Amino acid sequence: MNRTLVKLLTVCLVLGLSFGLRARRYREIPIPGQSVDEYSNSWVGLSIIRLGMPVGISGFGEYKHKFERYINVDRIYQYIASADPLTINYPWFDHPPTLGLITGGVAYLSGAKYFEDTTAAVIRRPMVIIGTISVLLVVVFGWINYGFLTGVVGGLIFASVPLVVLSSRMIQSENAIIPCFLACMILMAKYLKTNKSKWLLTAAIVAGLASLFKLSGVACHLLAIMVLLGRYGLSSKKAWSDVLFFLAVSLPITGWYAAYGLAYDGKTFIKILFSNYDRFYGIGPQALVDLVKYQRLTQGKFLTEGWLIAGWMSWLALMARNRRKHLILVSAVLAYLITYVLFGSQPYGWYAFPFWPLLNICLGVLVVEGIKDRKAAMPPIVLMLLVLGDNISRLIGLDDFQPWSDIWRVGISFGLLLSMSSWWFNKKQMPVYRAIILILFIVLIYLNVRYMNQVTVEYWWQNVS
Amino acid sequence: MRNKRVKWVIKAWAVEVLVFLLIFFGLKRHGKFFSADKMEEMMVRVSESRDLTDDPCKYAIKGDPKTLDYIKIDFWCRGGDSSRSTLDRKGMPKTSLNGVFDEYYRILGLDVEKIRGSDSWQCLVNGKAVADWEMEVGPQSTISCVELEDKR
Repeated sequence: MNRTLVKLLTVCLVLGLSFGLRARRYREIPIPGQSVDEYSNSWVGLSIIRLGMPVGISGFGEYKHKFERYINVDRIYQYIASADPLTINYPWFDHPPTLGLITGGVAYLSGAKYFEDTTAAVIRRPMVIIGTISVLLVVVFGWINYGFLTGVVGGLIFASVPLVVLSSRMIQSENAIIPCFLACMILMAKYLKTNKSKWLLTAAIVAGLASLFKLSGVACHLLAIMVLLGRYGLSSKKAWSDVLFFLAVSLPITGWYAAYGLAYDGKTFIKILFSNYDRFYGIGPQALVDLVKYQRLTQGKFLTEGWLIAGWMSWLALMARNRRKHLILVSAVLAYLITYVLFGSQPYGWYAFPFWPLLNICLGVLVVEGIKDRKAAMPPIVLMLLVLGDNISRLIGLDDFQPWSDIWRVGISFGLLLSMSSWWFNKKQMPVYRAIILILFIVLIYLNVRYMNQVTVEYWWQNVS
Repeated sequence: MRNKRVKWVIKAWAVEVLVFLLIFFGLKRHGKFFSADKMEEMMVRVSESRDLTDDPCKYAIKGDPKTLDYIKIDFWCRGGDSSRSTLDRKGMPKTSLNGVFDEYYRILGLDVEKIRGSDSWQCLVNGKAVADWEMEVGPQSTISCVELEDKR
């Protein structure tokens, strides 16, 4: 069969898996109302379309028009234990309204006229599509920079990791920044390979658009600066010429947000923009450690994810390696990390969403390196054993696990010894290590899918802390 | 390459300024159609897709608002079911007894007229029988409605 056709079919399978997992029970989990931002974002879009005025939920005191209302969309007041009314403000300036225009626009086209019509069943639909597009972009980035297999492995991880799947359904701006960020990475990679300005120009346009979903999308601008300086050097004229060209195109697009604010109420817009910087810094000095320790979905809902912990370790491993080869990937995580710390306020889970595709790609790189080279087999085997333990622990409880504990003890110890043994031989290729990595990987993806099948509304209430 | 980039930047700026102006004037013009009444309707109108019920004990509002300016609303139905809710008075457009009931019914999707003025229900406000449905319901008030036994 034609190799290209096989590759395309493989990508389609990955996308099919991604779409299937994201679409199943998308309207029920996460429980609608656990983040009312989902509705607020859509109301902003729907109200711009129907009223000519953005109306949404906010906590800022600087708004002139503020009132409380009970809006019982999806009967959230029957399911979510908070009897507080929603604080509604207009014109709404908390964030750029672009994502709201997408989800609110979809709701409008589906017949929604009132805020209560914007149910999770309607407004989360575009997020399922956006999430799947993000998976495609992960595949493409991996493919361009590391080869087809890395693209597929990274894509499969990002397509199936439970926390990623669940989070991708939420109407949070970060889920729209993700595809922009990945697209920017792809375009920067193309520019570095070909030195053709059209790629840099397109990357600049995409970076500008990213910041129209949320201002933290300026991480794309930072990424470009870091990549260009990293590639050509701080003292290189070419680097600075490229940076200036990039920013000259991208920053005015970010400025379109000002057009939105000035059109309604310039004074209030400026006040809200600056009050963003006065937010309570709830992530605290422990922010970086918490990113690794806790994987949040909302402020209060956690779902510990071994995949992401392994991803952080993979990123650190790549940092110590070939700078040129891993420049974009390492810079991307660093760029968003800087943005996360600078822009940080409360420890809302969605602020961390853009890390996840990057960490999944980092792990994918290590997995494929281990497949291709026996000497590189140990890190992915150890990391995947880490993930295996975490995946198993959430599928069966500790009591049910006891009959298997001896097999586990011996099996994991043997697995770790086996990973060490990869250093004892001289041959570059040894099929046994390739087989171990592939088998482990397939088992882990299967366990991801198995776990996602288990996550029902009842399970959510009982087990997701 | 430098000249080519300068041309691109100039073209990009031209497009970006045009889009900026389109957004600015477009939104300003569209904003002229804004109406506070229409906004209120958008916020409070019950969705046609939401189920309505005539059973006041079927739904309650979960949790307690973080305020001392609250109203408690309790329904005690025949058969032992009950529904107990606490709401923030600030979320009520009108705080007369009629206004509170209207808002409570709207929030939960209750069929309005079954209870108000009905012989099957007796309602008390802070332990006293309701004499005037336009009476003001103050902070920390409790409204209790009990479904009376069927005398037939």
